[in-house]
Amino acid sequence: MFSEELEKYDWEATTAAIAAKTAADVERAIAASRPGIDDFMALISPAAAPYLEAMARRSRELTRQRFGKTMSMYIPLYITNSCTNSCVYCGFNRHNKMPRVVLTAQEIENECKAIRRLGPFENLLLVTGENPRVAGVEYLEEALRVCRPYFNNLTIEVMPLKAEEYERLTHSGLNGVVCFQETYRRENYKKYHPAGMKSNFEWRVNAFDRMGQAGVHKIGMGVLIGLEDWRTDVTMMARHLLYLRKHYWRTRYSVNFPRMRPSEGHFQPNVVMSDRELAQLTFAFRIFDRDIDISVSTRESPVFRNNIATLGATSMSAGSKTEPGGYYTYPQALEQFAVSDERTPAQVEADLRRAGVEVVWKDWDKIFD
Amino acid sequence: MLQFITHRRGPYDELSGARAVLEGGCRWVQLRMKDASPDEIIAVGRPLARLCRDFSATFIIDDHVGLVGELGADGVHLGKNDMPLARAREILGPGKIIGATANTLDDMLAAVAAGADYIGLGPFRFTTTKEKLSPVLGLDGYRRIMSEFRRSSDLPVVAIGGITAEDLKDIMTTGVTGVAVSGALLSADNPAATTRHFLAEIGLTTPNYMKDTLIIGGREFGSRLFVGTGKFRSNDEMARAIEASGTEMVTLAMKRIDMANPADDMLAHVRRLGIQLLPNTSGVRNADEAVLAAQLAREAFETDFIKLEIHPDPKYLLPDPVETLKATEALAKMGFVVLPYIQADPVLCKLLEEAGTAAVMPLAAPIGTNKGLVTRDLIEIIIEQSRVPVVVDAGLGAPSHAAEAMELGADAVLVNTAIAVAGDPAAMARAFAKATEAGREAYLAGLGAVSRHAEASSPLTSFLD
Repeated sequence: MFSEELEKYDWEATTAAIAAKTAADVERAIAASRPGIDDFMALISPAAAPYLEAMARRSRELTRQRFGKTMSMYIPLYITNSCTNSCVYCGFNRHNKMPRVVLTAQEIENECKAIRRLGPFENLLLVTGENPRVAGVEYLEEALRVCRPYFNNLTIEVMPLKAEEYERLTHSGLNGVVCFQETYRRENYKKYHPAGMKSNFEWRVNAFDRMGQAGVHKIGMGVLIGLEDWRTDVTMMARHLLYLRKHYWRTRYSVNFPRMRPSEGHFQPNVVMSDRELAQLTFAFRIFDRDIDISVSTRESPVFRNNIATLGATSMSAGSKTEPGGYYTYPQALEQFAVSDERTPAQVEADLRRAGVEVVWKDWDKIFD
Repeated sequence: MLQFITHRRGPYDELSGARAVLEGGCRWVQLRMKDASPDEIIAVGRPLARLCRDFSATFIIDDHVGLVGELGADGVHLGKNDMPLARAREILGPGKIIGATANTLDDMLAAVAAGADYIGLGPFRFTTTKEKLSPVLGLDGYRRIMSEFRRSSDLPVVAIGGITAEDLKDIMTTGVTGVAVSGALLSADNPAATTRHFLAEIGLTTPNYMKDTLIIGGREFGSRLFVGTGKFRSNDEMARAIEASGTEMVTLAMKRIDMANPADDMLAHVRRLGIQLLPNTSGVRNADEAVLAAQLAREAFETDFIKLEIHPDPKYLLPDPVETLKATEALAKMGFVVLPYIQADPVLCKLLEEAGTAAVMPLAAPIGTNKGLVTRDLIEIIIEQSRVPVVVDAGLGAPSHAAEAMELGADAVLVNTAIAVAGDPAAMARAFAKATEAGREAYLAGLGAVSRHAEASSPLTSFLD
């Protein structure tokens, strides 16, 4: 399990190693034919800041080589905001006074139909809060069953499950699982996740092993940028990715770099990542792992998304609502995070085309599940 | 550095005493059996050599230069009345450790001049284990001699002679590198715990994990060059080449050996060198035959190591991936350390890993072609993904090919034809050894970048300004 592997890596030593990277290390990393973790650390280090243009060029070249000039489109569907956790940064925190909803099967179906009217989406991301009592595995199974006829590819972003539960869901059409570790800094993890199942670091960080063991086709990873030193945190995630690739080599992987904005809510981020840094991280990840799917959500602005689309990102959401029932049932409920890109899917598609990127709605077929 | 010198004491004989201190973390054992005949020493030395290998410990023998090769020891310790050091060096060559006893600064300087690898300086105090006693040095003697000695040499020096746990702190301040002990460890109630205490006091709490060693099947390999035994002009030439290569594992085809005859000439030549045997199944055509052959090999060679070679095609000797996977699965279950010879197929490597293989041995080019890393791109992928050691096998025709494979990050290489058919196989073996080491060092050092031009304008990232 990765929690044991993680013990080999010292947080402070990693931070220091990143800070010690030099321009020569960055140049070597950009040119490396098979970059390793040291190269990755160089690419995200402050020493790489002057190399942003060279990194962008390399990242674009590798992205085109592997993915062509395409963008895979997906859309999230929040089906419940009920949550037993009290994560200090999250809108779904159980102490937040807000209406909690758990969509019924009929409501989920209405949402599916509404999404299909919005655009020809085939990749659906089903999202829940973490409340196994009201939205447990049976509920997810039912939701997948309801969504199946409307979408060819179903991914979930829910509480960590047992391996046999992941496996059970793959029989109901589950293709991928997204789970954000939020932070790999074990000693501070509990500070941000004081209660509920999510307060258990090991259970969460080892969820990825369980997904791999269950044979999930695609695993999505991420750290929440704003909690700890992002350079160290993403380095730990890169190590996690290397570990997963070696152990669960039949699985595809994706990463996402959700960042907190200072103005977003009641929780003020400990670190703020600039657009330049987010671009640097995106390029670094592409250079480090040319096959990884890099996903950019509507948290980011239209300008950023239009540009990063040609430089390293390979999947994007559009027209997203981050509240349960937001497409049809409850257009007014409280969202999990603020959306920066309010464009319709059609507008996003038109902008991407202008940037020379072909939008791909369908890149999977349910017969393969 | 903590050297343990074997002796019999209380319930412990040489072997059980050594085991106790090895379990305590000591990684350096000297087999000392004064007044014993060579045969008696061999009888104890064989199992002790194996034990040291299991613990990745250095194993040296007192006095008997002639037994170093026989027992596969790492070296010898010479007392003042033993064979002259220079003569021992001539016999053992540069690769073996030679330690020398010294009582005075002059002794030490003479040992340095004669090519010693370390010096045992003593006695610290009066002791009962050494019979021929020299004047006791004491702490002051050490201070005086060491401060002089360190002006001209940084050779490791171990203090010896009746040293107890209480002495360690003081003695380490004199400039010695470590201590050699015998009685102090075995007379303790718990020798393993006392060993740990000694190591902590000397300042070496754990064995050195920083050294770059390769582990396959629980065995540690200092050399990353493995050598084959086929195609040599004579067994003597083969033995010389193997020795020159510094290898710690050789593969030999079962079909070549008369397994019913322990005196088989080829086998005797290989055994004499005291290195890990890797019998190979060359000649079998499917998994069932391979399993049978492996069982015979285990019996005959007394090793769990098996190089799985299943090539039904007699012309190019290309391995059968389906049968190899089947056989690996079966043999791993039976406790074999399986090293399968395979196509450079990354997916097959992952499947073999799941089947319990100890390493993978992808071919660089068809066997015997000397073409070098024809499969380079695939081997790169295998190395990137592998959780088990990757040993590049077959087709490496020149030392530069071995270096290239090691630079890519291969864990080891296996070479046979290129050495065997060279004009001077021993010289070629040495060249491969150097190339393998050079490639490894380059890999660890991190190869430099092909430089790129910087550009002033930033058309791609101006949206961030």
